Amino acid sequence: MNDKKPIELTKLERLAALLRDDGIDSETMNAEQLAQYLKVRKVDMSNPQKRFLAVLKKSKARQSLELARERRLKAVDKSKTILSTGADAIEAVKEKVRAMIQNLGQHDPDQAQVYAREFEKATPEDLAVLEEDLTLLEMEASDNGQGDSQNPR
Amino acid sequence: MELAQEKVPLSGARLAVAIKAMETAGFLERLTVRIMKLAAAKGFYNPFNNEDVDLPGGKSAGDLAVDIIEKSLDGSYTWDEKKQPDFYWFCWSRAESILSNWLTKNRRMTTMSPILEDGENGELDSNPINTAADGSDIYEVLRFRNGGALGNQLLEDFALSLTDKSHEQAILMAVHDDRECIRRGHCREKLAVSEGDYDAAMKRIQRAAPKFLTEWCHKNNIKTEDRKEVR
Repeated sequence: MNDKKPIELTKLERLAALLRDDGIDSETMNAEQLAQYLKVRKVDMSNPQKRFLAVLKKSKARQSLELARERRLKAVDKSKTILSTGADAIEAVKEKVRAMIQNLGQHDPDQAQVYAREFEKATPEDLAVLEEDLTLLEMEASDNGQGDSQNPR
Repeated sequence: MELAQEKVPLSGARLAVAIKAMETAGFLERLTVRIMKLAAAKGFYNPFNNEDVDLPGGKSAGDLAVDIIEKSLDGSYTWDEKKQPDFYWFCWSRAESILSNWLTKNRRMTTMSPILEDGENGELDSNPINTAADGSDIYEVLRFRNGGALGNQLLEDFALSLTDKSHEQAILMAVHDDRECIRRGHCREKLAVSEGDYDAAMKRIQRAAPKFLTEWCHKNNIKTEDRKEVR
């Protein structure tokens, strides 16, 4: 990455480097060993750790927003397709969404009620968004189910 | 003149890869330890104080690691995932560049104003280390007094203070004569010393150093206040 010739250390710097050489390869260490390594050397990681978690949280929030935006765009595209294919297609989507709400009601009646209210006054565009949301909810529920069975925490 | 590019925060697949990497256990700690080890290999840590774990100017390796992660995510550093698909190694390459720039700055100590380095996006970037305030410890005094000549003498004096023809003396003399010998593999090969003998000799060197360094400073009348004179 850096084509520049490395800068030569002075003899004093070489001594400093030698005295701090512990011969440990950090790439072979696991998370616990790394934490222990820092603890032994009295490196306070509380502030960097706090900052790091905030950065990670912000990045995840940005990612969620991006996904939500993508979903909306996809839903709009889908609604356009439904509208262009006519009344039968709209009816088919209505049936599908109704079934999905019923399915959701079996394990989350409150949320299902919210969707049911939305469903009653939904335009064809809204139906596409609802279908997208409910599909994602189903996917999340199935992911969580799998995750729970794999991760006993 | 080249125009500065607009910062583009990571998004889409690249953001997903970065998040996944950051969520791996010990991501921050690994980067921090690696920065510390490189800082040590570049001679940043004061040999007169074993507990000194901060980078020059008082910044911690952990803080530098987070700075780099933040700048990589917000687009201050341009991550080309085709060149470097691994986010961790990309962050590491930035750390390497920052630490190398500090060494460059160190060689130009007469410059008292902060040095701006060329960022990858064409912007002038304040290097978090080379904008740090100069220290005033014995290590710095030795580094810069008479152009560092006195500090350089220290290594030779230390070697000569050790048992003649011992492994520890051979290691120090090898480091004195050949900069590559700070790499243990290279040094062991050059001196034809086994791993066990090398490690044992290094332990003796590390044990002998504090007492020798204190006495040597006393003998050479080196005090922290000499920093003013050096400046």
